Amino acid sequence: MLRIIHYVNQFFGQIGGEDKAGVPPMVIDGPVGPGLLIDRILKDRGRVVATVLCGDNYFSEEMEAASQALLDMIGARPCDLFIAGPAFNAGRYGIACGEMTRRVQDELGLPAVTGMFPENPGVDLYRKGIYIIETGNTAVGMPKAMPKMIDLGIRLFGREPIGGPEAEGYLPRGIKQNVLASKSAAERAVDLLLKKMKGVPFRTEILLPDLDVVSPAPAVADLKGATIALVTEGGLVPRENPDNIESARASRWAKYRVADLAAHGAEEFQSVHRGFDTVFVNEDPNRLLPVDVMEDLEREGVFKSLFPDFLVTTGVATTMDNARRIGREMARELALANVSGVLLTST
Amino acid sequence: MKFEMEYFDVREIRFSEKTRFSDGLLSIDKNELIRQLSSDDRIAVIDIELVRPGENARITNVLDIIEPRIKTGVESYFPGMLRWPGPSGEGVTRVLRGATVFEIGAAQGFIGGLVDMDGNGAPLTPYSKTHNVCLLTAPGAGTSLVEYGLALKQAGCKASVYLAAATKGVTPDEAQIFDLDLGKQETSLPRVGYLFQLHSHGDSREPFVYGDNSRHYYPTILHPNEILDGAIVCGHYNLSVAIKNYTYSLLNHPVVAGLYKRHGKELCFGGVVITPEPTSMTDIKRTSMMAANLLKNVLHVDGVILTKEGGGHTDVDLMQNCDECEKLGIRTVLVDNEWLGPDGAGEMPLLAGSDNADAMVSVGNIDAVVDLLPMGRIVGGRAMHDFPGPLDGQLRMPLRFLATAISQIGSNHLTTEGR
Repeated sequence: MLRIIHYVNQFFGQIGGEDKAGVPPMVIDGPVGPGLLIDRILKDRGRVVATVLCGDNYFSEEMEAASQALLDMIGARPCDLFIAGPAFNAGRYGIACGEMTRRVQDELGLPAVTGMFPENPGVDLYRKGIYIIETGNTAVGMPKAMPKMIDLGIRLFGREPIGGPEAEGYLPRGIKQNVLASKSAAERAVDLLLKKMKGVPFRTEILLPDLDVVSPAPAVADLKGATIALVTEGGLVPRENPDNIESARASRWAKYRVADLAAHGAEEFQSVHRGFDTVFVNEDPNRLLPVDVMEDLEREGVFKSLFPDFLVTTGVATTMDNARRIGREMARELALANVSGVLLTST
Repeated sequence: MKFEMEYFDVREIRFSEKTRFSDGLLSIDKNELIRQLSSDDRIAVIDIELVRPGENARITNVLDIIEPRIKTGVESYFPGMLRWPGPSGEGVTRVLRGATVFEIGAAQGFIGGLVDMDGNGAPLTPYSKTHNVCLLTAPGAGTSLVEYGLALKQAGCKASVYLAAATKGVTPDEAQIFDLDLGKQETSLPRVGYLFQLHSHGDSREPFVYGDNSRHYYPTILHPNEILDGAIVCGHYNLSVAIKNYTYSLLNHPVVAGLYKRHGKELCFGGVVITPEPTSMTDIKRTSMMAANLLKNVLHVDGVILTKEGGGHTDVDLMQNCDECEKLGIRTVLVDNEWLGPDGAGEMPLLAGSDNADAMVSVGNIDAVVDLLPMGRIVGGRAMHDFPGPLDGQLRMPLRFLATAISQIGSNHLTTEGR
């Protein structure tokens, strides 16, 4: 007998309409509203043991406190599966359902599922981490949505494999999972090409992301007064790699003293980069980061000063999230130190 | 151009007093094979081990995999590597089907992978179903990495020919004729070509075409037979194992073989252009322009399949080639792997894209994590590049450490599906 806890707002919880949207979190034994439908669908396979409820305004204004209170209520009761909503196209309710589904799943470790109309703002906020069954935009869609939510929930509870979004009826979570296709990639490529050549509809297996095109910054206006920093994605680190900069797919960056590199060169520094043949750099790091030339130019007065630290990470198939973060952190550090220009070397 | 492939199906392998092939049993005189490979002091062949299909075994430090083959008459193979003069793609080639030679070795700067014959890893590689003759090697004293790689390639090729020689005088299980005239063919079928990108980023990071490094080539037309008959072999020893094409997969090239199979039925196979993946933008633009021109105005194809070899940089080549082909009116399909993080939720880090790349085939998320079961037998060493070991226990690792799980030329069935 599956024990379900169900989340609803004040409206579906039959407390009242917009005038009751401020009610704080509460728990009710047994099913309320759509929970009765859950019991009817499940028959003797399971039942709603409790309904947790919160007003939409209260939840959106006090999200942390409200969700924590609800989480405590859920955690205090025996529960096999958490179901939230469905919220259809109700925005505040959708966000509450998304937040509760995510927290119950991640923090209580319970299988959890909700349902929303694709344009509900809760979808974009929560789709990545949770299962959201696609519903119509009003409660008319309840009889269609609830059986799908229950079916998916039961299979999550049973740790059964979950198929793709189309087959299961959930909104794509932005996750791509490795699977074995019935045909080899080469066969599929020929199939796809023949379709494209014939002008019949075809579907690509990879949708390319929009590329960030970075326009070059304007030239440094006053080079003679400029502080120039050296930055590289070439993985140049002290031999013992004290900051554990990854050799590929980096999540970290570090800074080291230019003076140390100038004084000790290949004796104490090496590239841990896995995306190019590092032999020549490891013979002479100036080939990656031209400290020798920059010191000459500094002496000749071409620019005012060389920034005393160089910043380094490894640029090999870095995830976009990490690449953006590393770039931001490096830029912040250099901007705070009033660096006017950067020589960024890439491999 | 026409040649015949004779297949000899290997159903069992074992060490024996004498190397011979009979009734599906490949018997190998281990000492003689080691002797055959020991004349080169750049490499030491320490031992040879046999690993069977589905065995509870893990093969580590895998650098290349070769299918045993020999050309009847010359009694050698791999033109430009072991014999001269070429060409390949004519005459009769004898193949020990179902058997392989594994090149195995560990050295700082070499990147080897892992092949599981059993458990979760087995369905991810075609070589869990083959009889694998594993050459365990070490570099000779004072040998550079590049020279060790070259010597290991020689050893792998020689071992392949040595084993295939045992089929002399034996009746093949099956024979297949590869006969294709690339001249003007009167047909209403769509004319399809293949643009084959070869990694060309320096020694130990590129394949050999007729014995020469891919970086020495401009876009060149090869007859499909030349590829299926040993003109290209893998030469990568210092390239991540998931983003290189192994010799076995080149000899059984799935795109070339697939287009051959459908030739005259659903399409007309218009030929193959091989092209390097240069390291400068100027060279990439030059080669992509030349490759597209060969496809359009020499091979006269209307559609082309593009595959790449290598990491993120080579997406630049892929997109440039795609754009140049589409510009000339050639419809394109691109085959690529994805980099989506361990959970498949990451955004693909792409150095180049194109609006023309609207038809792509995925060979899988290279970052996906796989759980591998402990294996009773380890062949190739208990530690590996980036993995201090021990490697015999339960392992959790990204797919990119499994040799042959990702096939950029599309040998495998792996793909990604939205979740």
